Amino acid sequence: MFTKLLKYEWRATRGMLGLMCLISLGAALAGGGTMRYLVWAGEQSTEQNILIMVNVFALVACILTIIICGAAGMFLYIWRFYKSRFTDEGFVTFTLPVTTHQILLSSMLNSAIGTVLLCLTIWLCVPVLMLVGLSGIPEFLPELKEAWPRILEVLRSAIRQEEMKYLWIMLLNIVLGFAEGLVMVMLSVTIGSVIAKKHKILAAVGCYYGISMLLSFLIGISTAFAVLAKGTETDAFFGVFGTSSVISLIAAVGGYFLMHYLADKKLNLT
Amino acid sequence: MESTVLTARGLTKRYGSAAALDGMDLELPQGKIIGLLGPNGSGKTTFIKLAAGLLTPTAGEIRICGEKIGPATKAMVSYLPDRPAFGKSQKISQLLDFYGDFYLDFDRPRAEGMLNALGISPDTRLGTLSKGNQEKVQLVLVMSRRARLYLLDEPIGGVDPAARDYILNTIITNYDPSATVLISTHLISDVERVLDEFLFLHRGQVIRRGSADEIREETGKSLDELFREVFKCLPNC
Repeated sequence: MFTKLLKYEWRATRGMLGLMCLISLGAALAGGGTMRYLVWAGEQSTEQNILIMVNVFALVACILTIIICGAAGMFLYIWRFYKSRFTDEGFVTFTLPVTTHQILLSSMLNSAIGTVLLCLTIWLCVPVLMLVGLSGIPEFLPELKEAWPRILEVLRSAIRQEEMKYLWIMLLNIVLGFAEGLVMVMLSVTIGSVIAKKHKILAAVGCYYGISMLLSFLIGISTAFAVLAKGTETDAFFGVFGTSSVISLIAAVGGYFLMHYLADKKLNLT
Repeated sequence: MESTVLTARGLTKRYGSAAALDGMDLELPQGKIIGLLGPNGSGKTTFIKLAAGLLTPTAGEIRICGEKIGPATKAMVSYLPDRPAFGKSQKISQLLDFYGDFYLDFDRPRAEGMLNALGISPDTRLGTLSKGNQEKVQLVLVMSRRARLYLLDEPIGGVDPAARDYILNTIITNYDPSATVLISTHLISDVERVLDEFLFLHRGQVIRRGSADEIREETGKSLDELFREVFKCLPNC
């Protein structure tokens, strides 16, 4: 049943996700094209100022488009969670012969997969924009093909180095922070929907700000103690990121079980 | 011997200080079409949603075929909400796939036959249909399951008289005779012809129940007339 739930969650969001990825990549290509013109105009010392201005605006618009697609992606999954669970569609979702864990986890996993895919696409936009901008569209693919083995070699040698442990703790911090952020958003939507009769979205936003402030305070206090308590810079580094990771993990797990309790024992779909 | 498909003991649901259901004790027998009748605000929808698992009781308990409300009971219960609940952008064929995937008792050929009789193509998007047709599609999906208990919340509210007749005929011709159908409505005159039993609900309490045929013989009145008489005498109806 869980895989079926996940399948339908994916189907409900894949269209918009695909569209945002395509728009982001398109914006990156277009932005690269405008950057290429600006580079050429700079080399030619052209005095076509209007064209230069238009291309600058176009470049800014392309970058903003990529950023907006990223934000819209997050909103897509929050909206999907709210709509399918706490509006009239919830009458269908919560009468399915599945457990509350399955309902929540399918939504979380789909949101995580979609967000990761969108993030990867947006990260890809940066090299696309730079390569197209600096090399030009006809040269983009051959230069990428030539650069790719060198990129892989740099990554392989970086993984073998001693300093990689710093990167791993930062990556762990990012992953746990992402999980905590996702759970906090879903928990806020759940609290807002369960507690508020009217203005559920406003209640969810208020909850989210409250929870975020509390977590920021806790992380700030604990990392300050970690910095003050530890001796060397390395110890302080691991203290800060390690403490932050632990708090994120506790918040994610605790938040998930609170969300489950509310959706299972306090559900009131009127 | 009849078995009990639904049992409620001391069932209470409060919204703040207001009690939508107040210590209700009830047993529903298997194999009957039962009307849950009452004026607006009497607790009909609240009871239906508690049985469907969309609300949690403040006190008391409700069981379906002896089981607490959960995935097992949801597999046995087919619920029709009082308004369209599916996403408007979905195609009907996708809804058929959805029901087929989650409910083992879903009879897809029956559903397709009913949709065909309505002249609704499975390739149609739900949002392009009128409200009445959307509700009919929802009813087709619900009644195409071979459930133990059908919970129909206001199935004929908000549709024209011809559509009401269609909906009621669909209910009586397509439900499993060994199952129980609980229909909540305040449109008594339209629905009483299909009812085996009735429950009058007032302020979250069952104030009268019985066999529809027997009460008509005893009182010489229709259920609609009896309903008007009973609730005329009660405060705040």
